[in-house]
Amino acid sequence: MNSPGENGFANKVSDAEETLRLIARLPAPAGLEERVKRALRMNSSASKVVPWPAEYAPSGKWTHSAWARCAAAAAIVAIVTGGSWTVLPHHQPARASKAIPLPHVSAAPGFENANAIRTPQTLQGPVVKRVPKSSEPAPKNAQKRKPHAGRRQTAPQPGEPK
Amino acid sequence: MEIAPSAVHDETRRQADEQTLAALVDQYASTLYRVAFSVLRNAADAEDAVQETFLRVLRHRDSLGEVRDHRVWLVRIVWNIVLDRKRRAKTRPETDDVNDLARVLPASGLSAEQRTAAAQHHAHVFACVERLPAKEREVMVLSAFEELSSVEIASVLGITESSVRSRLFRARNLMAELLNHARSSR
Repeated sequence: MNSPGENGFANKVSDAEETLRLIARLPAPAGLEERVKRALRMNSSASKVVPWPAEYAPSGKWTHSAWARCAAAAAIVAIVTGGSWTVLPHHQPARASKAIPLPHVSAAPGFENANAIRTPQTLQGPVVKRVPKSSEPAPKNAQKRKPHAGRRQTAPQPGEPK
Repeated sequence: MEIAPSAVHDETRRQADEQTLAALVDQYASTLYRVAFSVLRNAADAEDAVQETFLRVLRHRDSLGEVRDHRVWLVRIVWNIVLDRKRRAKTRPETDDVNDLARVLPASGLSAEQRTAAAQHHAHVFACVERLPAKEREVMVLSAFEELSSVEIASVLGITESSVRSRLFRARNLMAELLNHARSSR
């Protein structure tokens, strides 16, 4: 004899199974078979292949003839050669890339120069005026003579007569 | 133009295949629909699954002659299709709505209140079934089909008959626990 606990367990599970059985016994919707058959007909007609005519069928005798085989092979070769011949003149070798290399952008954090090129400001150099050349030649010893030569270099001492 | 004998033969064979397929549809479409509905719980999805099953059969009609048990074979195909669909459409909610269940399940001779209570009970059971581990759940759902023996369930799931029995035993225990837990938490 089962205990009340076991009976309760069995009842609950059988209740749950009864719910599943209700689903399992559900009638199929009306016209299901017809709809499935229609879908099958549509699908099979879409995938139907047109049969070969008898004289050209692959199982026919014409494929056994050596002449027909040679002709077919020649036709295939002609088509392939002709096709490649039309493609070949249009073929051009790849040219070198014309892409301009981009300047290197540093990955360092901080502000960037936004690709601006820095041009340092150049100073205006001193402009030397050209002294017009005199017609007389300079004396020879004038060049050798030092400027202020013979002049006293030291400053005059106080009390000393100037 | 003369028509090749092989073409005539192909046409005859194609017609024979179509007739066999039509007979299979007549015989098993409703069973397959119920199997699909028990997992998907949506009439349109279940019908789609049945159509897909027979389209697969159409594609592999050459192997029809090698099949011993067409019923189990078809149930196995539809089972794989519905599991695949359920896996892919996990985000879409099933027909867990109480009103939908009340509409789908038979409730003749019940008052409106009783019908609502029955629908809520069914929804609760389905929720518990969903919480079972996949292996146990599959066996439990298939065991509800009276036309499928444990040997046939084993064939559909690709396991041994003893595995079916042990999984069914575990599923019943887990269901009882889940139902008890749900009742005590109410």
